[in-house]
Amino acid sequence: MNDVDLVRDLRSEVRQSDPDTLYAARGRLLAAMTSPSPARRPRRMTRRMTRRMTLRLAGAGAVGLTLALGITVVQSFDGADIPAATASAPAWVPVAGVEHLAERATAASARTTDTYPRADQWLYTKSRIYVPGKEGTQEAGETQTHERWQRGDGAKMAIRHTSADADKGAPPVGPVTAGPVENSTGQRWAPAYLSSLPLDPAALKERLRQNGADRPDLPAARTLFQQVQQILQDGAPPPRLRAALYTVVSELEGVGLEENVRDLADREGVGIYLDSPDGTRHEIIVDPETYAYLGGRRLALGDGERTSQAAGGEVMAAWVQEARGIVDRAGDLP
Amino acid sequence: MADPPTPVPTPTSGGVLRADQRDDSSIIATSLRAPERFAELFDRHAAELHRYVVRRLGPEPAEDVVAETFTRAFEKRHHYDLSRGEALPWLYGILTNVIGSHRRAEVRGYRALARTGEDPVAVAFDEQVVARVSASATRKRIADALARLGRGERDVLLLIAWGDLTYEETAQALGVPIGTVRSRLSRARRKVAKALGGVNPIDVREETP
Repeated sequence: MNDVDLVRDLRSEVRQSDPDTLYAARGRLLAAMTSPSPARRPRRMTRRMTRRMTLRLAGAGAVGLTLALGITVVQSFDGADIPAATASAPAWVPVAGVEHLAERATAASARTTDTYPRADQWLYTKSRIYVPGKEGTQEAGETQTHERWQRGDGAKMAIRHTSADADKGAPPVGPVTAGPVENSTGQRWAPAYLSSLPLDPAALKERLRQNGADRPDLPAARTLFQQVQQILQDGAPPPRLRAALYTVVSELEGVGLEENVRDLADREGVGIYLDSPDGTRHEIIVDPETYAYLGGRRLALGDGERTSQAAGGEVMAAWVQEARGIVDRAGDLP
Repeated sequence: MADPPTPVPTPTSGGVLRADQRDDSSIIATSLRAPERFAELFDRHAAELHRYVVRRLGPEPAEDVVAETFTRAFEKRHHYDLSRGEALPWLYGILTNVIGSHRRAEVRGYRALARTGEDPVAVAFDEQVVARVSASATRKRIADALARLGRGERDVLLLIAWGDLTYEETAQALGVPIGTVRSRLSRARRKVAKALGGVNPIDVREETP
Protein backbone atom coordinates (compact mmCIF):
# COMPACT_ATOMS: atom_id res chain seq x y z
CA MET A 1 0.00 0.00 0.00
CA ASN A 2 1.62 3.25 -1.07
CA ASP A 3 0.92 6.69 0.34
CA VAL A 4 -1.65 7.58 -2.35
CA ASP A 5 -3.54 4.40 -1.46
CA LEU A 6 -3.46 5.40 2.19
CA VAL A 7 -4.95 8.75 1.28
CA ARG A 8 -7.50 6.96 -0.91
CA ASP A 9 -8.53 4.89 2.09
CA LEU A 10 -9.20 7.95 4.24
CA ARG A 11 -12.92 8.67 4.51
CA SER A 12 -13.67 5.88 2.07
CA GLU A 13 -16.69 5.13 4.29
CA VAL A 14 -18.45 8.03 2.62
CA ARG A 15 -20.94 6.36 0.36
CA GLN A 16 -22.18 7.32 -3.08
CA SER A 17 -24.79 10.01 -2.56
CA ASP A 18 -28.47 9.26 -2.83
CA PRO A 19 -30.28 11.17 -5.61
CA ASP A 20 -32.83 12.28 -3.00
CA THR A 21 -30.07 14.19 -1.22
CA LEU A 22 -29.52 16.10 -4.40
CA TYR A 23 -33.13 17.00 -5.09
CA ALA A 24 -32.78 20.55 -3.76
CA ALA A 25 -29.49 21.09 -5.58
CA ARG A 26 -31.12 20.00 -8.83
CA GLY A 27 -33.98 22.39 -8.13
CA ARG A 28 -31.52 25.23 -7.69
CA LEU A 29 -29.90 24.43 -11.01
CA LEU A 30 -33.30 24.43 -12.72
CA ALA A 31 -34.12 27.77 -11.10
CA ALA A 32 -30.81 29.22 -12.28
CA MET A 33 -31.56 27.97 -15.78
CA THR A 34 -34.87 29.80 -15.91
CA SER A 35 -33.55 33.17 -14.76
CA PRO A 36 -31.01 35.36 -16.51
CA SER A 37 -27.44 34.72 -15.36
CA PRO A 38 -25.95 37.26 -12.95
CA ALA A 39 -23.34 38.21 -15.52
CA ARG A 40 -26.06 39.26 -17.89
CA ARG A 41 -28.04 41.29 -15.43
CA PRO A 42 -27.69 45.02 -15.90
CA ARG A 43 -24.88 46.29 -13.75
CA ARG A 44 -25.67 48.15 -10.60
CA MET A 45 -25.64 51.85 -10.74
CA THR A 46 -22.34 53.26 -9.51
CA ARG A 47 -21.88 56.45 -7.57
CA ARG A 48 -20.57 58.13 -10.70
CA MET A 49 -23.62 57.14 -12.71
CA THR A 50 -25.77 58.38 -9.85
CA ARG A 51 -24.08 61.75 -9.94
CA ARG A 52 -24.50 62.00 -13.70
CA MET A 53 -28.14 61.12 -13.41
CA THR A 54 -28.68 63.67 -10.66
CA LEU A 55 -27.08 66.36 -12.80
CA ARG A 56 -29.21 65.44 -15.76
CA LEU A 57 -32.32 65.57 -13.65
CA ALA A 58 -31.22 68.87 -12.15
CA GLY A 59 -30.86 70.36 -15.60
CA ALA A 60 -34.26 69.22 -16.72
CA GLY A 61 -36.96 71.28 -15.08
CA ALA A 62 -38.08 73.74 -12.43
CA VAL A 63 -35.43 74.40 -9.81
CA GLY A 64 -37.49 73.63 -6.73
CA LEU A 65 -38.71 70.33 -8.12
CA THR A 66 -35.34 69.16 -9.39
CA LEU A 67 -33.61 69.95 -6.13
CA ALA A 68 -36.06 67.78 -4.31
CA LEU A 69 -35.76 65.08 -6.97
CA GLY A 70 -31.98 65.24 -6.87
CA ILE A 71 -31.90 64.69 -3.15
CA THR A 72 -34.31 61.80 -3.39
CA VAL A 73 -32.33 60.15 -6.13
CA VAL A 74 -29.01 60.46 -4.33
CA GLN A 75 -30.42 59.08 -1.13
CA SER A 76 -32.11 56.09 -2.64
CA PHE A 77 -29.20 55.21 -4.91
CA ASP A 78 -26.55 55.64 -2.26
CA GLY A 79 -28.52 53.22 -0.14
CA ALA A 80 -27.55 50.64 -2.78
CA ASP A 81 -31.06 49.26 -2.62
CA ILE A 82 -31.72 49.68 -6.28
CA PRO A 83 -34.27 47.16 -7.45
CA ALA A 84 -32.94 44.81 -10.10
CA ALA A 85 -33.92 46.56 -13.29
CA THR A 86 -34.87 44.49 -16.26
CA ALA A 87 -35.81 47.33 -18.56
CA SER A 88 -33.36 48.57 -21.15
CA ALA A 89 -34.77 52.09 -20.92
CA PRO A 90 -35.26 53.84 -17.58
CA ALA A 91 -38.55 52.79 -16.12
CA TRP A 92 -39.64 56.39 -15.59
CA VAL A 93 -39.85 57.00 -19.33
CA PRO A 94 -43.49 56.19 -20.16
CA VAL A 95 -44.28 53.65 -22.82
CA ALA A 96 -45.40 55.59 -25.87
CA GLY A 97 -47.29 52.88 -27.74
CA VAL A 98 -47.67 49.18 -28.30
CA GLU A 99 -44.78 49.03 -30.75
CA HIS A 100 -42.60 50.88 -28.29
CA LEU A 101 -43.54 48.40 -25.56
CA ALA A 102 -42.75 45.47 -27.86
CA GLU A 103 -39.40 46.98 -28.85
CA ARG A 104 -38.39 47.43 -25.24
CA ALA A 105 -39.49 43.93 -24.29
CA THR A 106 -37.42 42.60 -27.20
CA ALA A 107 -34.36 44.60 -26.16
CA ALA A 108 -34.67 43.50 -22.54
CA SER A 109 -34.87 39.82 -23.48
CA ALA A 110 -32.31 39.90 -26.30
CA ARG A 111 -29.46 38.46 -24.28
CA THR A 112 -31.43 35.79 -22.45
CA THR A 113 -32.11 32.24 -23.52
CA ASP A 114 -35.64 30.88 -23.48
CA THR A 115 -36.02 27.84 -21.26
CA TYR A 116 -38.64 25.15 -21.70
CA PRO A 117 -39.34 22.05 -19.61
CA ARG A 118 -37.56 18.88 -20.68
CA ALA A 119 -39.77 16.14 -22.15
CA ASP A 120 -40.13 14.54 -18.70
CA GLN A 121 -40.57 17.77 -16.77
CA TRP A 122 -43.70 19.81 -16.28
CA LEU A 123 -44.64 23.41 -16.92
CA TYR A 124 -46.64 24.68 -13.97
CA THR A 125 -49.01 27.61 -14.40
CA LYS A 126 -51.42 29.13 -11.94
CA SER A 127 -54.24 31.26 -13.27
CA ARG A 128 -57.10 33.06 -11.65
CA ILE A 129 -60.17 33.50 -13.81
CA TYR A 130 -63.23 35.64 -13.17
CA VAL A 131 -66.35 34.36 -14.89
CA PRO A 132 -69.34 36.70 -14.65
CA GLY A 133 -72.86 35.56 -13.81
CA LYS A 134 -75.25 34.83 -16.66
CA GLU A 135 -76.12 37.85 -18.74
CA GLY A 136 -79.42 39.45 -17.86
CA THR A 137 -79.65 37.76 -14.46
CA GLN A 138 -78.67 38.85 -10.97
CA GLU A 139 -76.39 35.83 -10.65
CA ALA A 140 -73.04 36.79 -9.18
CA GLY A 141 -69.83 36.05 -11.00
CA GLU A 142 -67.33 33.52 -9.74
CA THR A 143 -63.57 33.51 -9.43
CA GLN A 144 -61.74 30.25 -9.95
CA THR A 145 -58.12 29.26 -9.57
CA HIS A 146 -56.73 26.92 -12.19
CA GLU A 147 -53.42 25.20 -11.63
CA ARG A 148 -52.09 23.21 -14.50
CA TRP A 149 -49.08 20.95 -15.05
CA GLN A 150 -48.29 20.34 -18.70
CA ARG A 151 -45.61 17.80 -19.44
CA GLY A 152 -42.76 19.06 -21.61
CA ASP A 153 -43.56 16.64 -24.43
CA GLY A 154 -47.17 17.79 -24.43
CA ALA A 155 -48.50 14.25 -24.02
CA LYS A 156 -49.84 14.55 -20.46
CA MET A 157 -51.43 17.11 -18.24
CA ALA A 158 -52.76 17.46 -14.71
CA ILE A 159 -55.14 20.13 -13.47
CA ARG A 160 -56.44 21.37 -10.16
CA HIS A 161 -59.38 23.72 -10.08
CA THR A 162 -60.37 25.62 -6.97
CA SER A 163 -63.42 27.81 -6.70
CA ALA A 164 -63.19 30.87 -4.47
CA ASP A 165 -66.37 29.65 -2.73
CA ALA A 166 -64.91 26.24 -1.97
CA ASP A 167 -63.76 25.29 1.50
CA LYS A 168 -60.26 26.27 2.47
CA GLY A 169 -57.52 23.85 1.57
CA ALA A 170 -56.47 22.86 -1.89
CA PRO A 171 -58.15 19.77 -3.32
CA PRO A 172 -55.92 16.99 -4.61
CA VAL A 173 -54.46 17.35 -8.07
CA GLY A 174 -56.87 16.11 -10.69
CA PRO A 175 -56.15 13.01 -12.71
CA VAL A 176 -53.21 13.13 -15.06
CA THR A 177 -54.80 12.91 -18.46
CA ALA A 178 -52.93 11.19 -21.21
CA GLY A 179 -52.74 12.62 -24.70
CA PRO A 180 -53.37 12.92 -27.48
CA VAL A 181 -56.14 15.35 -26.69
CA GLU A 182 -58.52 16.63 -29.34
CA ASN A 183 -57.44 19.99 -30.57
CA SER A 184 -60.83 21.50 -31.14
CA THR A 185 -59.98 25.13 -31.67
CA GLY A 186 -56.76 24.97 -33.59
CA GLN A 187 -55.11 27.04 -30.89
CA ARG A 188 -52.08 25.55 -29.28
CA TRP A 189 -49.72 26.44 -26.46
CA ALA A 190 -47.98 23.29 -25.18
CA PRO A 191 -44.28 23.76 -24.34
CA ALA A 192 -43.15 21.55 -27.22
CA TYR A 193 -45.20 23.65 -29.62
CA LEU A 194 -43.94 26.95 -28.21
CA SER A 195 -40.31 25.87 -28.39
CA SER A 196 -40.85 25.12 -32.09
CA LEU A 197 -42.03 28.67 -32.86
CA PRO A 198 -39.66 31.07 -34.60
CA LEU A 199 -38.52 34.15 -32.66
CA ASP A 200 -38.48 36.36 -35.74
CA PRO A 201 -41.79 38.27 -35.55
CA ALA A 202 -42.59 38.03 -39.28
CA ALA A 203 -41.96 34.27 -39.34
CA LEU A 204 -43.83 33.86 -36.06
CA LYS A 205 -46.83 35.72 -37.43
CA GLU A 206 -46.85 33.50 -40.51
CA ARG A 207 -46.69 30.32 -38.37
CA LEU A 208 -49.54 31.51 -36.18
CA ARG A 209 -51.55 32.47 -39.25
CA GLN A 210 -51.11 28.95 -40.66
CA ASN A 211 -52.02 27.34 -37.34
CA GLY A 212 -55.09 29.55 -36.98
CA ALA A 213 -56.31 28.87 -40.49
CA ASP A 214 -59.20 26.75 -39.26
CA ARG A 215 -60.95 29.84 -37.92
CA PRO A 216 -61.95 31.42 -41.24
CA ASP A 217 -65.03 32.94 -39.58
CA LEU A 218 -62.94 35.53 -37.76
CA PRO A 219 -60.97 38.45 -39.17
CA ALA A 220 -57.27 37.65 -39.39
CA ALA A 221 -56.27 40.30 -36.85
CA ARG A 222 -58.71 39.02 -34.27
CA THR A 223 -57.69 35.40 -34.76
CA LEU A 224 -54.03 36.32 -34.28
CA PHE A 225 -54.80 38.47 -31.26
CA GLN A 226 -56.70 35.63 -29.61
CA GLN A 227 -54.00 33.10 -30.44
CA VAL A 228 -51.40 35.33 -28.81
CA GLN A 229 -53.68 35.95 -25.85
CA GLN A 230 -54.13 32.25 -25.30
CA ILE A 231 -50.46 31.40 -25.70
CA LEU A 232 -49.55 34.09 -23.16
CA GLN A 233 -52.12 32.89 -20.65
CA ASP A 234 -51.93 29.12 -21.06
CA GLY A 235 -48.46 28.57 -22.49
CA ALA A 236 -46.67 31.07 -20.20
CA PRO A 237 -43.94 31.61 -22.81
CA PRO A 238 -40.41 32.58 -21.74
CA PRO A 239 -39.22 36.20 -22.30
CA ARG A 240 -37.89 36.09 -25.86
CA LEU A 241 -40.89 34.35 -27.35
CA ARG A 242 -43.10 36.56 -25.23
CA ALA A 243 -41.47 39.69 -26.68
CA ALA A 244 -41.88 38.31 -30.20
CA LEU A 245 -45.58 37.73 -29.49
CA TYR A 246 -45.95 41.33 -28.27
CA THR A 247 -44.35 42.45 -31.53
CA VAL A 248 -46.79 40.38 -33.58
CA VAL A 249 -49.83 41.95 -31.89
CA SER A 250 -48.28 45.43 -31.97
CA GLU A 251 -48.37 45.29 -35.76
CA LEU A 252 -52.03 44.29 -36.04
CA GLU A 253 -54.43 46.84 -37.39
CA GLY A 254 -56.66 48.45 -34.78
CA VAL A 255 -54.44 47.59 -31.80
CA GLY A 256 -53.99 50.28 -29.15
CA LEU A 257 -52.41 50.84 -25.75
CA GLU A 258 -54.27 51.75 -22.60
CA GLU A 259 -52.25 52.97 -19.64
CA ASN A 260 -52.82 52.44 -15.94
CA VAL A 261 -55.07 49.43 -16.12
CA ARG A 262 -55.47 47.02 -13.22
CA ASP A 263 -55.64 43.29 -13.58
CA LEU A 264 -57.76 40.86 -11.62
CA ALA A 265 -55.04 40.62 -8.96
CA ASP A 266 -55.07 44.45 -8.73
CA ARG A 267 -51.63 44.80 -10.26
CA GLU A 268 -51.06 47.87 -12.40
CA GLY A 269 -50.03 47.44 -16.00
CA VAL A 270 -50.58 48.64 -19.53
CA GLY A 271 -53.28 47.09 -21.70
CA ILE A 272 -52.73 46.11 -25.32
CA TYR A 273 -56.26 46.08 -26.73
CA LEU A 274 -58.20 45.20 -29.84
CA ASP A 275 -61.86 46.14 -30.22
CA SER A 276 -64.35 43.77 -31.81
CA PRO A 277 -67.37 44.69 -33.89
CA ASP A 278 -69.52 42.89 -31.32
CA GLY A 279 -68.86 45.74 -28.90
CA THR A 280 -66.19 44.14 -26.75
CA ARG A 281 -62.61 45.05 -26.11
CA HIS A 282 -60.02 42.29 -25.63
CA GLU A 283 -57.04 43.32 -23.60
CA ILE A 284 -53.61 41.84 -22.82
CA ILE A 285 -52.17 43.36 -19.64
CA VAL A 286 -48.40 43.71 -19.40
CA ASP A 287 -46.10 44.98 -16.65
CA PRO A 288 -44.51 48.05 -18.31
CA GLU A 289 -41.27 47.71 -16.36
CA THR A 290 -40.48 44.01 -16.55
CA TYR A 291 -42.63 43.25 -19.62
CA ALA A 292 -44.01 40.25 -17.79
CA TYR A 293 -47.42 39.12 -18.93
CA LEU A 294 -49.90 39.79 -16.13
CA GLY A 295 -53.25 38.75 -17.52
CA GLY A 296 -56.12 39.93 -19.66
CA ARG A 297 -59.75 40.96 -19.66
CA ARG A 298 -62.75 41.51 -21.83
CA LEU A 299 -64.64 44.74 -21.47
CA ALA A 300 -67.97 45.96 -22.75
CA LEU A 301 -67.72 49.03 -24.93
CA GLY A 302 -71.39 49.71 -24.35
CA ASP A 303 -72.58 50.04 -27.91
CA GLY A 304 -72.38 46.57 -29.42
CA GLU A 305 -74.99 43.89 -29.98
CA ARG A 306 -73.52 41.44 -27.45
CA THR A 307 -73.18 44.06 -24.74
CA SER A 308 -76.56 45.75 -24.91
CA GLN A 309 -77.18 44.83 -21.29
CA ALA A 310 -73.74 45.81 -20.05
CA ALA A 311 -72.61 49.32 -19.27
CA GLY A 312 -69.58 50.67 -21.09
CA GLY A 313 -66.33 49.77 -19.35
CA GLU A 314 -67.85 46.86 -17.44
CA VAL A 315 -65.48 43.93 -17.08
CA MET A 316 -67.12 40.89 -18.70
CA ALA A 317 -64.33 38.45 -17.96
CA ALA A 318 -60.85 38.69 -16.55
CA TRP A 319 -57.94 36.38 -15.98
CA VAL A 320 -54.44 36.62 -14.56
CA GLN A 321 -51.38 34.46 -14.52
CA GLU A 322 -50.16 34.26 -10.94
CA ALA A 323 -47.26 31.85 -11.24
CA ARG A 324 -45.27 29.82 -13.70
CA GLY A 325 -42.30 27.50 -13.36
CA ILE A 326 -40.71 24.25 -14.38
CA VAL A 327 -41.05 21.32 -11.96
CA ASP A 328 -40.07 17.66 -11.96
CA ARG A 329 -43.41 16.11 -11.05
CA ALA A 330 -47.07 16.92 -11.61
CA GLY A 331 -48.30 18.34 -8.32
CA ASP A 332 -44.97 19.99 -7.43
CA LEU A 333 -44.82 23.75 -7.05
CA PRO A 334 -41.89 25.81 -8.34
CA MET B 1 -61.12 34.59 -24.81
CA ALA B 2 -64.76 34.60 -23.81
CA ASP B 3 -64.58 31.24 -22.11
CA PRO B 4 -61.87 29.93 -19.85
CA PRO B 5 -59.53 28.06 -22.13
CA THR B 6 -59.86 24.33 -22.55
CA PRO B 7 -56.47 22.74 -22.10
CA VAL B 8 -55.35 21.10 -25.28
CA PRO B 9 -51.81 19.81 -25.09
CA THR B 10 -50.17 19.00 -28.34
CA PRO B 11 -48.47 15.62 -28.59
CA THR B 12 -45.19 15.77 -30.41
CA SER B 13 -43.24 13.19 -32.29
CA GLY B 14 -40.34 11.58 -30.46
CA GLY B 15 -36.95 11.13 -32.00
CA VAL B 16 -34.88 12.32 -29.06
CA LEU B 17 -31.99 10.03 -28.27
CA ARG B 18 -31.89 8.70 -24.77
CA ALA B 19 -29.45 10.67 -22.69
CA ASP B 20 -27.28 7.71 -21.78
CA GLN B 21 -26.48 6.99 -25.41
CA ARG B 22 -24.75 10.31 -25.87
CA ASP B 23 -21.56 11.72 -24.48
CA ASP B 24 -21.38 14.76 -22.22
CA SER B 25 -20.21 17.14 -24.90
CA SER B 26 -23.28 16.53 -27.04
CA ILE B 27 -25.51 17.25 -24.03
CA ILE B 28 -23.66 20.52 -23.51
CA ALA B 29 -23.88 21.31 -27.23
CA THR B 30 -27.65 20.67 -27.15
CA SER B 31 -28.01 22.81 -24.05
CA LEU B 32 -26.71 25.82 -25.98
CA ARG B 33 -29.98 25.76 -27.91
CA ALA B 34 -32.17 24.07 -25.30
CA PRO B 35 -30.77 25.11 -21.89
CA GLU B 36 -33.02 22.77 -19.89
CA ARG B 37 -31.10 19.81 -21.33
CA PHE B 38 -28.20 20.77 -19.12
CA ALA B 39 -29.99 19.07 -16.23
CA GLU B 40 -29.00 15.73 -17.82
CA LEU B 41 -25.40 16.50 -16.95
CA PHE B 42 -26.47 16.94 -13.34
CA ASP B 43 -28.28 13.60 -13.39
CA ARG B 44 -25.15 11.89 -14.66
CA HIS B 45 -22.48 13.35 -12.44
CA ALA B 46 -23.94 15.10 -9.38
CA ALA B 47 -23.88 12.02 -7.13
CA GLU B 48 -20.20 11.36 -7.76
CA LEU B 49 -19.23 15.01 -7.28
CA HIS B 50 -21.33 15.13 -4.13
CA ARG B 51 -19.46 12.21 -2.60
CA TYR B 52 -16.18 13.92 -3.39
CA VAL B 53 -17.32 17.13 -1.66
CA VAL B 54 -18.52 15.18 1.37
CA ARG B 55 -15.07 13.63 1.68
CA ARG B 56 -13.39 17.00 1.56
CA LEU B 57 -15.83 19.23 3.44
CA GLY B 58 -18.26 16.92 5.23
CA PRO B 59 -21.97 16.42 4.57
CA GLU B 60 -23.13 19.84 5.74
CA PRO B 61 -22.09 22.18 2.90
CA ALA B 62 -21.95 19.48 0.20
CA GLU B 63 -25.31 20.06 -1.40
CA ASP B 64 -24.74 23.80 -1.62
CA VAL B 65 -21.34 23.28 -3.17
CA VAL B 66 -22.75 20.90 -5.78
CA ALA B 67 -25.60 23.29 -6.64
CA GLU B 68 -23.16 26.17 -6.96
CA THR B 69 -20.86 24.09 -9.14
CA PHE B 70 -23.58 23.15 -11.61
CA THR B 71 -24.97 26.67 -11.70
CA ARG B 72 -21.52 28.01 -12.57
CA ALA B 73 -21.03 25.24 -15.11
CA PHE B 74 -24.36 26.13 -16.72
CA GLU B 75 -23.32 29.76 -17.03
CA LYS B 76 -19.94 28.78 -18.49
CA ARG B 77 -21.21 26.11 -20.84
CA HIS B 78 -20.56 28.33 -23.87
CA HIS B 79 -16.84 28.02 -23.13
CA TYR B 80 -16.79 24.23 -22.90
CA ASP B 81 -14.37 22.57 -25.31
CA LEU B 82 -16.80 20.38 -27.24
CA SER B 83 -13.98 18.14 -28.50
CA ARG B 84 -13.83 16.67 -24.98
CA GLY B 85 -16.48 13.99 -24.77
CA GLU B 86 -16.26 13.53 -21.01
CA ALA B 87 -17.20 16.58 -18.92
CA LEU B 88 -16.23 15.20 -15.53
CA PRO B 89 -12.73 16.78 -15.44
CA TRP B 90 -14.28 20.14 -16.35
CA LEU B 91 -16.89 19.76 -13.60
CA TYR B 92 -14.20 18.71 -11.09
CA GLY B 93 -12.28 21.86 -12.03
CA ILE B 94 -15.26 24.10 -11.26
CA LEU B 95 -15.97 22.10 -8.13
CA THR B 96 -12.36 22.57 -6.98
CA ASN B 97 -12.78 26.33 -7.27
CA VAL B 98 -15.99 26.27 -5.24
CA ILE B 99 -14.36 24.05 -2.60
CA GLY B 100 -11.53 26.60 -2.49
CA SER B 101 -13.82 29.10 -0.85
CA HIS B 102 -14.37 26.61 2.00
CA ARG B 103 -10.65 26.00 2.43
CA ARG B 104 -10.45 27.00 6.08
CA ALA B 105 -13.31 24.73 7.07
CA GLU B 106 -11.72 21.89 5.14
CA VAL B 107 -8.38 22.33 6.88
CA ARG B 108 -10.12 22.61 10.27
CA GLY B 109 -11.70 19.21 9.59
CA TYR B 110 -8.35 17.56 8.87
CA ARG B 111 -6.77 19.19 11.92
CA ALA B 112 -9.55 17.97 14.19
CA LEU B 113 -9.09 14.47 12.86
CA ALA B 114 -5.33 14.69 13.32
CA ARG B 115 -5.73 15.92 16.89
CA THR B 116 -8.54 13.71 18.19
CA GLY B 117 -8.42 10.74 15.87
CA GLU B 118 -12.17 11.08 15.46
CA ASP B 119 -13.54 11.94 12.09
CA PRO B 120 -17.08 13.26 12.06
CA VAL B 121 -17.17 12.99 8.26
CA ALA B 122 -16.53 9.25 8.29
CA VAL B 123 -18.64 8.65 11.38
CA ALA B 124 -21.64 10.28 9.72
CA PHE B 125 -21.64 7.37 7.30
CA ASP B 126 -20.55 4.46 9.41
CA GLU B 127 -20.81 4.33 13.18
CA GLN B 128 -18.73 1.19 13.30
CA VAL B 129 -15.90 3.25 12.03
CA VAL B 130 -15.36 5.03 15.34
CA ALA B 131 -13.28 2.30 16.88
CA ARG B 132 -11.30 1.69 13.75
CA VAL B 133 -10.65 5.38 13.18
CA SER B 134 -9.44 6.10 16.66
CA ALA B 135 -7.23 3.04 16.56
CA SER B 136 -5.46 4.21 13.46
CA ALA B 137 -2.56 6.52 14.01
CA THR B 138 -2.03 6.46 10.26
CA ARG B 139 -5.25 8.34 9.65
CA LYS B 140 -4.27 11.03 12.11
CA ARG B 141 -0.96 11.48 10.39
CA ILE B 142 -2.47 11.59 6.92
CA ALA B 143 -5.05 14.11 8.06
CA ASP B 144 -2.28 16.21 9.54
CA ALA B 145 -0.38 16.05 6.26
CA LEU B 146 -3.50 17.05 4.27
CA ALA B 147 -3.95 20.05 6.54
CA ARG B 148 -0.38 21.15 5.89
CA LEU B 149 -0.37 20.76 2.10
CA GLY B 150 -0.49 23.80 -0.11
CA ARG B 151 -3.79 24.37 -1.81
CA GLY B 152 -2.54 23.31 -5.25
CA GLU B 153 -0.87 20.21 -3.83
CA ARG B 154 -3.98 19.15 -1.96
CA ASP B 155 -6.19 19.70 -5.00
CA VAL B 156 -3.97 17.53 -7.18
CA LEU B 157 -3.54 14.76 -4.61
CA LEU B 158 -7.25 14.52 -3.84
CA LEU B 159 -8.45 14.77 -7.45
CA ILE B 160 -6.26 11.74 -8.11
CA ALA B 161 -6.85 9.80 -4.88
CA TRP B 162 -10.53 10.61 -4.27
CA GLY B 163 -11.73 11.84 -7.66
CA ASP B 164 -9.99 8.99 -9.53
CA LEU B 165 -8.85 11.40 -12.23
CA THR B 166 -5.79 10.61 -14.34
CA TYR B 167 -2.85 13.03 -14.43
CA GLU B 168 -4.11 14.37 -17.73
CA GLU B 169 -7.66 14.83 -16.48
CA THR B 170 -6.33 16.56 -13.37
CA ALA B 171 -4.34 18.92 -15.58
CA GLN B 172 -7.51 19.65 -17.58
CA ALA B 173 -9.55 20.19 -14.44
CA LEU B 174 -7.12 22.65 -12.93
CA GLY B 175 -6.10 24.26 -16.19
CA VAL B 176 -2.40 23.64 -15.58
CA PRO B 177 0.25 21.74 -17.59
CA ILE B 178 0.61 18.06 -16.85
CA GLY B 179 4.18 18.70 -15.60
CA THR B 180 2.72 20.91 -12.87
CA VAL B 181 0.40 18.09 -11.85
CA ARG B 182 3.34 15.70 -11.59
CA SER B 183 5.48 18.06 -9.55
CA ARG B 184 2.63 19.03 -7.19
CA LEU B 185 1.75 15.39 -6.70
CA SER B 186 5.29 14.38 -5.95
CA ARG B 187 5.64 17.22 -3.43
CA ALA B 188 2.35 16.18 -1.83
CA ARG B 189 3.41 12.55 -1.66
CA ARG B 190 6.74 13.47 -0.12
CA LYS B 191 4.95 15.42 2.61
CA VAL B 192 2.53 12.58 3.28
CA ALA B 193 5.37 10.08 3.42
CA LYS B 194 7.26 12.33 5.82
CA ALA B 195 4.21 12.64 8.05
CA LEU B 196 4.05 8.87 8.14
CA GLY B 197 7.56 8.83 9.50
CA GLY B 198 9.27 7.69 6.37
CA VAL B 199 7.95 4.15 6.80
CA ASN B 200 4.74 2.60 5.69
CA PRO B 201 2.93 1.94 8.96
CA ILE B 202 0.60 -0.60 7.40
CA ASP B 203 3.53 -2.77 6.43
CA VAL B 204 5.14 -2.28 9.80
CA ARG B 205 1.96 -3.30 11.58
CA GLU B 206 1.57 -6.36 9.45
CA GLU B 207 5.07 -7.43 10.29
CA THR B 208 4.75 -6.82 14.01
CA PRO B 209 1.17 -7.49 15.05
